Amino acid sequence: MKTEYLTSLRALLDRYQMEEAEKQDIVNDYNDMYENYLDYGMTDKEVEDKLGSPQSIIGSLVEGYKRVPTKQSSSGKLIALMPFIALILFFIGGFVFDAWAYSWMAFLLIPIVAIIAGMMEDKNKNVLTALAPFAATITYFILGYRYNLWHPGWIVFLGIPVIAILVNHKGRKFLGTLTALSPFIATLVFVYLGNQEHLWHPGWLVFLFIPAVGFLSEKNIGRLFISEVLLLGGIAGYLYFGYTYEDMWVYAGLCFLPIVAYMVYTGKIHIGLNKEEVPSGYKIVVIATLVAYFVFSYATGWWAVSWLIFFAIPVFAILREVDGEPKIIALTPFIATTLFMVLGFAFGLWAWSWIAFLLIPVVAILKS
Amino acid sequence: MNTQFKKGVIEMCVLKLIDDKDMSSFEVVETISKEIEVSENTIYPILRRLTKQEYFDTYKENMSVGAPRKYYTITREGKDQLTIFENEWGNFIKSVSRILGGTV
Repeated sequence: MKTEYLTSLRALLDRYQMEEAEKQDIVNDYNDMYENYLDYGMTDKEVEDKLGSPQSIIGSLVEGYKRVPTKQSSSGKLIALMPFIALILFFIGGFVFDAWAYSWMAFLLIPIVAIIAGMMEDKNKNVLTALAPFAATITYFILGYRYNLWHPGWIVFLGIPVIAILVNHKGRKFLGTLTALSPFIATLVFVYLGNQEHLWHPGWLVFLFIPAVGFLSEKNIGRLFISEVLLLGGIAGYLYFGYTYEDMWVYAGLCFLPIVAYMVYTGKIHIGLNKEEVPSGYKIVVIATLVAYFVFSYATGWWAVSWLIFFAIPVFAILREVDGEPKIIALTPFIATTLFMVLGFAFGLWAWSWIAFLLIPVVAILKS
Repeated sequence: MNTQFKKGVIEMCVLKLIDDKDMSSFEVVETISKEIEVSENTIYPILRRLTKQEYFDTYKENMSVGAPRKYYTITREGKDQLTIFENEWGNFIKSVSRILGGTV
């Protein structure tokens, strides 16, 4: 982590007309500061938050220095050409193949190419995270237009935080990664069960997969065994009593009392859901999003658009994992999709609302 | 608070702190952040600039635990600059007080 941080800082410094000794001095100072904070017991992530990302600090470090004039690189030329290539592809798709519904997606190539080129140059490992929103948007529209799977096609957007977690899994053990991913896996299965099998209830039980995986990080075998048995026993009991006595679902919930009591008794109610395993904030955002989704949907009946609330999860992941200008560019697909859906759904402007997607290349061009 | 104004004030605070005692950037951040919200990101460029302007010298000191730490010490030029800053600041505060007190 420290090496990557310093390499990225050095690469940014190299873009300015600064003496070699001075650049080296800055890198050495940051190396020392990084080490000092590590000595104070901070994690790499905490140190980098404290020092600021190389992209965010470079401005103040090079104040008064000119940029090194560079020849237009091949990637730079490609970025400059992309708007024209996209326009040509847009018209070919529309006029030749009559695929106007899809061909506008050619404009997404502009930010995609810019992000890949920019982040590769900075050796930014979050390139996949930054590109994921575009891949998700394209997949979502193909699912929607071609297969009419607007719902639950939106679930592809959950792939964004999943990619962010997988990209940053280095240093986190397999079990930690699985625990971090468990909310998304559970949501995926829940929506599948609800849509395909109409099992919204008791399909919600899949969310108990999250603590079930979390318990696996318990080192004491006895406690691990008791926790898993009580949880699985609770689920089995709940389903048995619920299905046997149709009107007794509420009372069947009492089957979960033993596991709750055991967790309270052992003081391990947070087992497997501590900071080291789930990146801080993800858990709260996922829970808050689920609650908001159901409350809003039941209150308004707007199921067709209420899924937009789930954008909070990938948006949170982008705000957290992506630094610098790619962050704004990566957020635009969500803003555009929200505008598209709201204008279409609330005002019936489907014929026009797709224009919202032009926001994506426009922002990318302005930011480039 | 206006960012440029804040930077100027912090620059003066950094000069004053290092005039009182040689400090590492870590100590400067810790001390100032007790009163004003600052980060390494704000302080380090100021320390570098003031060092480049020859208001500070630097030296390294080995620590009992961990990496050696860079210390900043004030120079003659730095002390002169601090005196200028302090006078300007005193006059500025007096002027602002007179305006706010309605005695202009």
